[in-house]
Amino acid sequence: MKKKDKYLKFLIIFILFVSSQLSLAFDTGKCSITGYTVATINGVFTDEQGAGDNMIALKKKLGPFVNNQSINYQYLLNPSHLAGLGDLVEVAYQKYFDDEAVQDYDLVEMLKRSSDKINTQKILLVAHSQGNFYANSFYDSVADKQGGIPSQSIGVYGVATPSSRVAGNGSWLTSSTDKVISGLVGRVLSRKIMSANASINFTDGDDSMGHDFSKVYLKYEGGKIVSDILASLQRLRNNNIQKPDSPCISPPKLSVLHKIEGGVLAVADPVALGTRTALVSTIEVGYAMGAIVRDATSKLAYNLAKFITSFGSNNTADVLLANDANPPSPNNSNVVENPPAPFVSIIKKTSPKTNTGESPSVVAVIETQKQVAPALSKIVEIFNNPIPKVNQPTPRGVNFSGGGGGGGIAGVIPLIPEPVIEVPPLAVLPIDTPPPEIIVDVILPIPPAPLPPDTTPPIITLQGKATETVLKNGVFVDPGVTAIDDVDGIVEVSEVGSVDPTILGYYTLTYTAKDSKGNTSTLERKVHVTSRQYIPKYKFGSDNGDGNDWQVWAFNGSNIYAWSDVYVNHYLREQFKVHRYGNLLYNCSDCLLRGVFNHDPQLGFEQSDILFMRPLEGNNPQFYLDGIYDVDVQWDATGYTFTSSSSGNVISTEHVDIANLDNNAWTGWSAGYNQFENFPSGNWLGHSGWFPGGYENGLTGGQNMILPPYPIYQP
Amino acid sequence: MNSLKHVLKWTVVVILGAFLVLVVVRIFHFNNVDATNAAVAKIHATKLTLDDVMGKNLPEDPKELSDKTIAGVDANQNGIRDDVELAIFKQYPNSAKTRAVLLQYALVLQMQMTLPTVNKETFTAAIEDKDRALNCIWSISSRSDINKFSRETDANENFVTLRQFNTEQRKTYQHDLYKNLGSYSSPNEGCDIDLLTLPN
Repeated sequence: MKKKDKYLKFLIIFILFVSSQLSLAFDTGKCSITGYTVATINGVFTDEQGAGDNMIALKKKLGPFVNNQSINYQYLLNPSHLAGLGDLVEVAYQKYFDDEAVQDYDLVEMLKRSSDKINTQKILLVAHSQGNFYANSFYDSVADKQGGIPSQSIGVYGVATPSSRVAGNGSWLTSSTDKVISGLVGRVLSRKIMSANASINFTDGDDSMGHDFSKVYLKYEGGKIVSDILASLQRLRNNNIQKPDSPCISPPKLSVLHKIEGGVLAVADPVALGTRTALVSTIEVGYAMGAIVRDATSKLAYNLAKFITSFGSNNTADVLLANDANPPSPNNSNVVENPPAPFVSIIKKTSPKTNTGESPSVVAVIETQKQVAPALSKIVEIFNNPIPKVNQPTPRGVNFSGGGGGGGIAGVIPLIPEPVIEVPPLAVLPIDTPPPEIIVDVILPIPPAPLPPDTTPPIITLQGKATETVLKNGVFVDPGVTAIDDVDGIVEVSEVGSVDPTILGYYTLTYTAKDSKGNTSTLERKVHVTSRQYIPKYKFGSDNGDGNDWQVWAFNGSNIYAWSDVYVNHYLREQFKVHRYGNLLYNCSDCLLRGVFNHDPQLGFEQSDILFMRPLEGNNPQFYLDGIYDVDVQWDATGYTFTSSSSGNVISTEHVDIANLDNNAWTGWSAGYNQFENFPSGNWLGHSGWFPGGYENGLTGGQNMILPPYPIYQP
Repeated sequence: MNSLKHVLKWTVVVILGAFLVLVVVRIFHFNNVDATNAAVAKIHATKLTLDDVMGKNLPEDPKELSDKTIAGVDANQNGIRDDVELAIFKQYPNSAKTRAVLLQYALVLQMQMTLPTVNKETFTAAIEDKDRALNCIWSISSRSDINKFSRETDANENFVTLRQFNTEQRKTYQHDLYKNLGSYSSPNEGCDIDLLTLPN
């Protein structure tokens, strides 16, 4: 009895301990009525880097705000399990139960994550590829559910969806040229999917499956996707059900089974990944050792292929490809040749049997290839990921027609060595699909195939500025350019154009860079030969970047300080203080001229480019009295309003109209009534060297200053 | 009855064994949690400084040493790989704003490559900071013309990434790091340095 009690105690302690370890606490966040959440869900065949990049690409296109409300971007990871093998089952399962919520481990984790992090009522799920199953299930799990989200506040947008629906009647975009969705899922597997509503003409350099989210869909249909998403966001409405001080989504109840599954996956996933890596490493070693056997195998396989194809008319077997160094082209149309290479790659299959005994045509062969593809492409991805790519700048392999998973590198078979690989037959197919009679017997090493065509031109980067300025009769020294090509590295750049510094005007220099494949890019630089140029020298502030700590702009008889430049309703607002020493006859802050230019004067200007000049706003009678004055200058489309005040009392205010002012105008300063004639040299500093009032309360100050000009309008 | 006792006894022994293993694992786990939390806090506390932008402590050109290791050379220990830092200063000697955004991006990318503790929490934290750096890069280009915006921001991002991931080893290492990426919230904050305080 005592023993039993002891056992019982152990059991209780164990259960309590485990329960305490597995229990999870959730943050009770706020659920705001302002703002939107855009949550992205990747397809399972897109790796983590690709999925992360996809969300960033979308964020970049969509921007940080909509309807003057911020967008909170959430990346909901749809992870891969069991080194990819678990994903195949997952896809089949999800497709089979396409019309209902599939509450698997990953969905519960997404709901848990969302409960923790989503803090807006309005949420849009943006899903790609297989992620659409999760988006639909997510929606089904929370929309109009207790503790969930009212359907008016949640939506789904699908990209390349293999599902037959978009939950909540959401929008979608699928290209008819997407070989995974429209091709494999739609046509080959004849599954019911949302119809293609775009046709993307992707090119050779793109994802060969035409399926990648950012490199195909966003690249070619980015405008449509953004406008669809914006429209989807516009449809979302706030609700009175979600409380501001509660999580937007109640945390899901985590079953014991879920926790156990989490524990199992936490162990099994790394083990499977390690096994996969070890397998590939072993294969890589074997690859080198098998090189001797390779040629003999190639010849044998080729002859075997030839032998089999000689009986091609009875369609008992097809050899899809066979090649050696210089194989003769098989005459039989059922034999499909890979790019010439020294090795053999054979995929042997039995053709679909027919009751009528009819011979499958060539079309049937192609059809069979597509059916093989899902499993193959998964293997391809399994083997692609862990292989170190040292000294292998571009994945080499042959494009394989047929489907695969989401994005990235699927569809390219890498350097897989000798061993026979039994492909798990048709694990990707829905379980209600009769298994096609396809057996992949042998995949021998695919030879180093030609590198993908290099269609990317070099990137030219300007040294210096896009518009350089040189004073008339000065010397123009071209700062130069650099050009980097993704394949060739640094490439040479040729230059066309010249600059005559004796003649005013704009000149164009054209730089051209070409890589070894003849891909060419050009870039231009403007050079402005000008009479004058505004060169800022110092600005206020301790962190102004010029190495000084100017806080006072010192003139003879007055100081200017506490200067700020901000934009109000896109127009510049300048504020500063003037400390005038009224006992002096001569106060040279008045010497300071405001100039208004029709463009950025730092790029050079002529007298005709100055729209307006006027002494600093401190020039009014009151300023001859000793004291501190606050000056406020607010710009608008027609000029500016200045207001001078002292101790809170407005002394003067005035709107100054400026003719021909537009939003390209800039404003800057010149001193000593210099009229910007010899700017910035010459007598533009005011009378320096004598500061009867001293600096303001210990603030440091500069004399030889000229502030940077500012655009009066900022979009 | 004896056999039942035997089964019960072994059941308890197995459970006890599992319990002890779990205790040991959890001890390590909590130790790791502390280390991870400290590492995450350090990642988020790593910021670009004005001195970095103004080049107050520029390193010497590491030349061929820069590509000998994945981490490369950071002689001035500001978290930015020296060859990338120098390239940014060489390219943009007259634009502190451009330097600020590019240096911040280079800083976070280098932080990814030199994480002392690599796991889901630390790498995801580094990715959050990378997104912040991207927000910063995007902030200096106008969105009024989205094509121009894309061109400009792509050029700025590529300027850093082409140099940061300039060897196959570095590309592979970075790709493998991504296996640690978990779900995360992409921040809306941007630059470490207030760009309005920069002179040009």
